[in-house]
Amino acid sequence: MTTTQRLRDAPFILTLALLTAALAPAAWAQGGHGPVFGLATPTLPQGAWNADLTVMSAARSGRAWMVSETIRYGLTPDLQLNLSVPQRLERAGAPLRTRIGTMMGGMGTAELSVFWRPHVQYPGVGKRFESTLMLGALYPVVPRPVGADVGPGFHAAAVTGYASRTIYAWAGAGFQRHFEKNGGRPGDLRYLSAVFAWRPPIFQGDYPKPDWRIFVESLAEFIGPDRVQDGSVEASGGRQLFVGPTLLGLYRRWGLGVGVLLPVYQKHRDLPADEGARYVANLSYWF
Amino acid sequence: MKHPLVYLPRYVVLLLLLGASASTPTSAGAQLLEVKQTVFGMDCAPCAYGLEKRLRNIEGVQEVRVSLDEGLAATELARNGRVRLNTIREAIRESGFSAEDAVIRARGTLRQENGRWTLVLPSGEHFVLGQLSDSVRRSLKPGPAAITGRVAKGDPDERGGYRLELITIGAS
Repeated sequence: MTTTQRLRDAPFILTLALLTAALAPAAWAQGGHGPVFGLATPTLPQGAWNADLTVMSAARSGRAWMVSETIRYGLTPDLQLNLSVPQRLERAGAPLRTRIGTMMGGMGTAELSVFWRPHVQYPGVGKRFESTLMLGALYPVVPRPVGADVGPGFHAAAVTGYASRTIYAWAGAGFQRHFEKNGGRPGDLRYLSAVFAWRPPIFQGDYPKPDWRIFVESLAEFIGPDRVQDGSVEASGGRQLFVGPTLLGLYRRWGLGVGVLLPVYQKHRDLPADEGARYVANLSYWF
Repeated sequence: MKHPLVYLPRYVVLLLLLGASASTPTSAGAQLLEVKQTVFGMDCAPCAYGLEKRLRNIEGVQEVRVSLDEGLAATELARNGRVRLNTIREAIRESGFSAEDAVIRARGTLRQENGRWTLVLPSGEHFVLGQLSDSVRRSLKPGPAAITGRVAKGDPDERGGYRLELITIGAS
């Protein structure tokens, strides 16, 4: 992608950001404050808006860069609506079959989703046990450079875990499927997500001091083969495990998360190259 | 026809009565004055920011202090407001957290209802005083009163009443 093309896309991103601001009337804050790659349980308060601007990158035969804008709204304390729209900055040479940020639409698909928290317990000050279900509709907005065509699809996930002032732990699983388009579709994605976070004593200042935490995130992905009209694509699908650190800083209505996921295990079906490290930087704003 | 000045003493009495009623706790100055509400489940800065903002948006709330480490939302309320404890607790529940025990300071009218001492506020909420020692019970008199007490977690009864564990009581 040339610099001229990037500049041409800038108004689109800016428009999304402005649209987010325009859509947010007098509302309140709180909300998702977890990992950048893995699944987490928190949902927004009733009537609250939140917007994320996320830059994400993954690499296979070249590094892909994507920016994603996400808007969230809390219908009730346990029911949240989300809309993510990606915009490609740079594409990889080979198709990437990951969502990167499991709570967002992924590398090339817009996602309209609902999070439902059917279970929550409050064992003490700053502590919650809770579980959240996620269901999203996917619509491809960025053409795939190679491989099977991508039709609309869906994503479903479940996550459960514990949040406190010092320790966070979430475990979940998800499934993503795209429907056929022109006789083909990308392989299904199944994944397991595990996140552990810790707030060291030095970061345990009370509100309104900044709130920092360190995460270790891991994602295990099981990717089915791409399908075309006459069968499955040989050079597609596989299994991979990623692990890496994330740092999240929160100050009043702002949040900044930066994370790296490193491949620790990969087994593919004749893919031309292994996948490299994944990066995510996420800026959050609670209205 | 009588001279209008004949009615003057009646006007004076009426004005005095109006003035007296204005100084009773059922008017301005009698209500919840402070609520220190324990909050469970609030773990992050944006959580605290959101709750602080939500509480500030309640009409009659003057000051808000939220502590993540203490799990506390402390509000100071306008003396002429009509903020209800249930409104504060509802704001906490809408934020996705649990409203636990609260320590309140309030001015109202002390009455005996069904053999129980009850502080009645102009907002309609009332606080039934539980577990009183004999000496405290003997010292109570109907009328204006200022109390500090602990209200357990939970919704009010169907008449808007909470059970209150008395900490201090004094004349309003």
